Amino acid sequence: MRKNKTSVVYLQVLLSFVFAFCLMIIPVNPAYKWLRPDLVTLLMIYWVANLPSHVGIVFGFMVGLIFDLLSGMLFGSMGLTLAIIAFLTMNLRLRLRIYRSWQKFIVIMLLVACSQLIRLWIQMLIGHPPANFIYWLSSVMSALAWPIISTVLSSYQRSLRLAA
Amino acid sequence: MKMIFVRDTAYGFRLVFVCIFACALMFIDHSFEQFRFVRGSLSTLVFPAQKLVDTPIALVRNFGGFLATQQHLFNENKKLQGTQLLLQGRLQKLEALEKENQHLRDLLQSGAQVAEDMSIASIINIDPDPFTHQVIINKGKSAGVYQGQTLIDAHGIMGTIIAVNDLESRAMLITDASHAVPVENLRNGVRAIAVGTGGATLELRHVQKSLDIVDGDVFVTSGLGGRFPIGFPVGKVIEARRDHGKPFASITLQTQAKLDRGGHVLLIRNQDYIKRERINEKK
Repeated sequence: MRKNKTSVVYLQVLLSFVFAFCLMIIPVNPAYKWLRPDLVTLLMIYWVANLPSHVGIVFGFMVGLIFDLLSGMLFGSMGLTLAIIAFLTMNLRLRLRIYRSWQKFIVIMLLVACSQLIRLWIQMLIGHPPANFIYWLSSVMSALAWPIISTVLSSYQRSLRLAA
Repeated sequence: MKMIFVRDTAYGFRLVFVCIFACALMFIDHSFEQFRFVRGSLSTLVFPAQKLVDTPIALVRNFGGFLATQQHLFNENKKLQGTQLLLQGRLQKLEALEKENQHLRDLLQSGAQVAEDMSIASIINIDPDPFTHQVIINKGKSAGVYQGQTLIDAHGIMGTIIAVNDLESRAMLITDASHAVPVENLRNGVRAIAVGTGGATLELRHVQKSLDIVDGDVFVTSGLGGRFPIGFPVGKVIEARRDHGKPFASITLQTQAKLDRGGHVLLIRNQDYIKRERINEKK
């Protein structure tokens, strides 16, 4: 495999995040707003698991800051969340490769739930009341979306020959 | 050589460092108003992404108008003309009343009510974070939008501008949990503060049980505090409960403005507020 320049790799990974950002802000019916899979967290998990030489804690933090600007959340909250997710995924990434699909489902669900939990805590700290139980459904939806996301991303990675 | 089993001990250290930095950022964003300006100008960076999402949706919406039949347009036009006539009729009376009101105020030697001028803006079709109730508007500093400006639609108050950059601005809706409006009862002038619940409704905080508020009462802005213009509808009481165990009455309002329907909004320039802010800046 040809080895790409570091800056090009970062740009290509960032491009996939920009695409995810666009998908995250497409307006949906408010009744279904909690059902949207958390694409940004999923992408973070994928890239940390598959491109750990480039994507890590600091990268996650930066991407999170951009997402905070876009979504209007407290500046730094998504940054913190993605940094922690990156750390957790780094410890899990080798195990993630050998897991069966149902095991993957559970691990991904827990990781996204963790990301949601951090954001929920932050929201509670600044006085927004917590959402109802439907809030957690997003992590289930994310885990269900994982096979699709990882397939799409791995073909993207292969087509660009991004290697760890 | 490429290592497969990398075990970098610097990860933990890096994480702690990043966490502290993130917490500091969040603290600054939450506690300092001044940071809003920084944030407003930084968000110009993400403007292309917003435009990218908004453009096809706006295009589809406009295309619907393009395909409408002549019959449909004819009917709509007729209806709109009827509404306009009706509104103009009401406006005639309103002008006379306004003059009379001004005259009475002069007699009472109380301050004159300033006229507000409005400008139209439209909502950019994107969904921000589901925790917060915010919308993004296609006018910014270059169109004279300022932080703290009030946003209304045809039916009532929608929200307040919280961050501005050159091209667009971000408004917090009145249903957001950190938004509050000083209001008064249209029927009897009882005053209260309407706070967003984070859901689809508003609630009145710290209302004594003895106050005369019943279902169906309409609350309008009282203008106290000087941020919101006076007399715009905010909400209608849908539930007024007085539980024995609680010190205050719990009163729920439904917003008058149609917050969930995208489209056009009006921005009100409150001359009084602008003047006062300028004086504060000079100080």
